[in-house]
Amino acid sequence: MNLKTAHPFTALVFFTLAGILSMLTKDPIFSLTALIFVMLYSLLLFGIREWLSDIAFYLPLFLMISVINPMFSHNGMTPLFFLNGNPVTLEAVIYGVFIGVFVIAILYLCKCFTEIMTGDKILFLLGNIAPKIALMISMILRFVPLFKERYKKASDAQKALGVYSSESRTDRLKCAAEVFSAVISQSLERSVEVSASMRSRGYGAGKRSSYSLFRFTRADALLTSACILIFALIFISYLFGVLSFDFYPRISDLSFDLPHILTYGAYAVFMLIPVALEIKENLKWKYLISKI
Amino acid sequence: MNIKKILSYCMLLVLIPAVIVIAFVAFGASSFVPVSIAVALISVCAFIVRFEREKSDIRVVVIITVMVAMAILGRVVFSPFPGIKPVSAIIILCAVYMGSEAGFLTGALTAAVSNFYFGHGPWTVLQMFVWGLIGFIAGALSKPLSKSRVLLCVYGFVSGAVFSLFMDVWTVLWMSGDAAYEGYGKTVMYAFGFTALYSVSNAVFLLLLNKPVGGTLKRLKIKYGIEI
Repeated sequence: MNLKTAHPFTALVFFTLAGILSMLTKDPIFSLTALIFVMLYSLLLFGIREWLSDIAFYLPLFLMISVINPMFSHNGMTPLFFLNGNPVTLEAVIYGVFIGVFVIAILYLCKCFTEIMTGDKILFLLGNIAPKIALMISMILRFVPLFKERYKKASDAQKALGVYSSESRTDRLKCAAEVFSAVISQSLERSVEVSASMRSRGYGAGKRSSYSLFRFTRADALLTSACILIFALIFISYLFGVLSFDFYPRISDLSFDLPHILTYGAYAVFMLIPVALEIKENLKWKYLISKI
Repeated sequence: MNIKKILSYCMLLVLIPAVIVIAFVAFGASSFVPVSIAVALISVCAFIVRFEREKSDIRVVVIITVMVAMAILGRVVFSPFPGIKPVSAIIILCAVYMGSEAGFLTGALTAAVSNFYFGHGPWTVLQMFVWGLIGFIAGALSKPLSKSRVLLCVYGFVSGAVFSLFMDVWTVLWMSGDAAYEGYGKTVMYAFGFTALYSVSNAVFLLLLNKPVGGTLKRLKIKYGIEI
């Protein structure tokens, strides 16, 4: 089992807790741990090529974020040099790098979230607590490709009639706006038929039942409780002030006493969970293939 | 207008901004990001819970889903033209003709579902909340907005600017921690052209779509006796 094949609830718990933990503190070791493991995980998820092209996007963003902070923020005690009469401080430079790591780690986490929590899983989770919204989302997901088709038909018809057929930008924009408004009113007119059909088939007559392939196995229970347990441990040490790191006015010292090492270790284990599962799954696959 | 409705208006328009301002004053700029996410999440959830509880007309529900699907398609179709998006216009029209609850749902669902295509992030919740709020307020002002095209355009322009500015503030605060104040002024200046284009295109889309879409919605309401 990996996060992709795990029960949606398990994956949701992991991502929610990971999101909270990554925003909990300004401790640089924490953010660095998150970034390393999340990058490793996305390498396993997306493959080397997409990973490299992602880096080509994230690296400039990282540089931009880390350069912008010291240019605008003049807090801190240790000026390095003066730019246009404003001090550029050591604290602001390091804080900029930290914010860069922090933001990129969250962006990677969101990318993995979008990959793992596909529409059907979110629908399944919502189906139990918000059946109306879930129904609406599933209808929307169907309507988008349907309307796209209608849009294409209408715009092809316009082109065949010789209207808006030039390649100029304004003409294309005009065509898009015109066809768009036609499709929208056509679809609205038809929608009443959909709702009449739904009502005559008994929508709203009783409680809706739903079917899904997801089963909450013992492994899911184990994984979910492990995530919650580790999260609780880290949160307790956060409440005791272990992770109270600050950059201004002076950068706090990094300490590596027992509580700190335990907390960092717990966080590393937490972020290691999906990576380890993915590697285990890959190895198993290779092993099974080798036996054929 | 009954008391329940007035209370929910107060909640959305007074209480939530008040909480954000208080958090800003009490804990400083660095708390703005988590507090705004929490507030947006809570109000979106509260709204959905209310919607799930009450009995709603299935025809209105389907109309909302059609509008959301069209808004998402608009985000896709107009992707070669940056800044020109019909999304807010569709949300506002749906709100004006179908009521504020429909407006909020259209806005929130558009943000949530379109990010299946464009990628989720911490901003999803904020987008849901702000677009939902734009729809909600448009629904509350539906009487004047449905009568005067000028007012409709002004509302479209203002809401486009507010949406753009708010998401910019939020992104800058998120990405730069506390360096925000000066950085924010610069970002607004750099983004000025984009914001202006976005706001103007909103107003133009409202003008273009008001007659076909608003007319259709009005006709459907009369023809099938849909009451809001």
